[in-house]
Amino acid sequence: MKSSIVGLGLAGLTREATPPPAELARQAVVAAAHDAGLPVSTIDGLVVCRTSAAGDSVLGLDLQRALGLRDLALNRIALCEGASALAAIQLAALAVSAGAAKTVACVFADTPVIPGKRMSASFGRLKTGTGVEGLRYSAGLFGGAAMYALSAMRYLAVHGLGEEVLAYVAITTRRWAALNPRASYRKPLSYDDYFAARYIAEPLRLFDCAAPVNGAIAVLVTSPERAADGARPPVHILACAEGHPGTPDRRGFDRQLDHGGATAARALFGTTGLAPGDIDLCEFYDAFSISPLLALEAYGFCPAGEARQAYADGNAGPGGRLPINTGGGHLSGYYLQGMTPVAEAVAQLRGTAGDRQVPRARTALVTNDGGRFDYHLGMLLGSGEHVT
Amino acid sequence: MSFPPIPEPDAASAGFFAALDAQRLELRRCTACGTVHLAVLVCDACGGSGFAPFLASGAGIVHSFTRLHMAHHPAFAEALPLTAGVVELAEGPRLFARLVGQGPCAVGAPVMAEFSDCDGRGLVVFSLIAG
Repeated sequence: MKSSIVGLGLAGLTREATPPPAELARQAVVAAAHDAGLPVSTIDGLVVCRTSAAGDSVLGLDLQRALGLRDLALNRIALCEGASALAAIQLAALAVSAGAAKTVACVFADTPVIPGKRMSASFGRLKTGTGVEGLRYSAGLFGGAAMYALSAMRYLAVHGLGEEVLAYVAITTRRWAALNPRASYRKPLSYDDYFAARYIAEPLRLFDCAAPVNGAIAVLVTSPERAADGARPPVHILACAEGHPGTPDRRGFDRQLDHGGATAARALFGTTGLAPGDIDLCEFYDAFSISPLLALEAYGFCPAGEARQAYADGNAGPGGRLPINTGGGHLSGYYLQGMTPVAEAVAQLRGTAGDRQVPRARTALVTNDGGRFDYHLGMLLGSGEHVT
Repeated sequence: MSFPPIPEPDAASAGFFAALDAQRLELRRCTACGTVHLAVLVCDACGGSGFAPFLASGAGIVHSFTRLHMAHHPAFAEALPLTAGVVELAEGPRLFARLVGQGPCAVGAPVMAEFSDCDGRGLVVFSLIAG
């Protein structure tokens, strides 16, 4: 795609009260420019993404004014539910490679954590809905956990697996988080700790669900030529692809398990000539523990029903052959939707991931899921050793 | 008395919800290819847009389910843990629904539709069949 990530900026990443999303977004963009060694005024494109429940008053196109940016060549809101971050970065990469903009900032911000309140106050809001999809609310299926639980229950039943499969994911991801100073939960999680935690929506327990934070993440996308002169090692965008299955919900199909990653994987591997065996690490969207299992299978790392092996054998954990969610992901790290896996991939490919650094990390797969697995984007990122 | 939230009909589901408000479960068969749908305007199997409505038998199986341990709506506060999921009707289409009754709940378990009136709107839940 002839574009590169040259700046990464974080703001907030806390469970304490913060300024509102628009201010966090401004701070993250400024931090990303500083990280890239560029003045903010270099930015000539802005792509804003936000949680699907938020409106323009929360975070919108007027971020431009807050940043004091004049005469932008691109200013856009990218909305694809949880996949909005990669949708934003893909748009930036396309604009840069087409010459429509030179340096584009992509930013996500959200403040779901209200100190003293349960997360359901933010994520389980009352809804009625329209049409037959709204029957989920008639059934009491509010919030993401209830819906992902339907996928998890079906996955375990179809493949004859027990809940320990989910435990492996939560425990492995926590092992990575222990090595990441920015992670929300760093205390080791034992098998007994996992099963002692309360159910949220069976088979999902507390540690199968993301760790929400208030915060913002921004990245700066520019051309590989400009990236070569940057303050940081460039991270090249090798390919990006979407996959939105639209699976019918009736006999003969399986909407619970169909994953947009299968379509995205064909495009990503097809355009780059890479294969799953060429990937050094995966940063999967893991708002719930079932997600990385289905992503591993959708991307062809293993046959359907066998993703547990990557976790059970330790391959997904620190020191393993296929490191997954190396910053603690959403589960133990921090839930800033699609930007969480992007930020971690950039740190790894720059070689700045500290105690959790994966040796010789050159090629990373990053995924974003929206809806449940309805809306999906995948991106291949490469370190400077990749020729673009 | 607090009722569960009932969706507003859209263009695709107007017939479905009108029937449900009369305590009937209505499906629609594509007149071109015979595929049975819950509520669509276009048949995803053949692209057809002509449908013939008919009543479902009410029988189905559990496609997937969960037990929720927190109520997000007052209508479910006394039902915890709340069992709900996706039911695959004998005719093929699936829908989200609450699961009730004493029968064992598992993927593949047989269920039967039960209707109730919620202040003029119809609600269908599915009862797990014992034994």
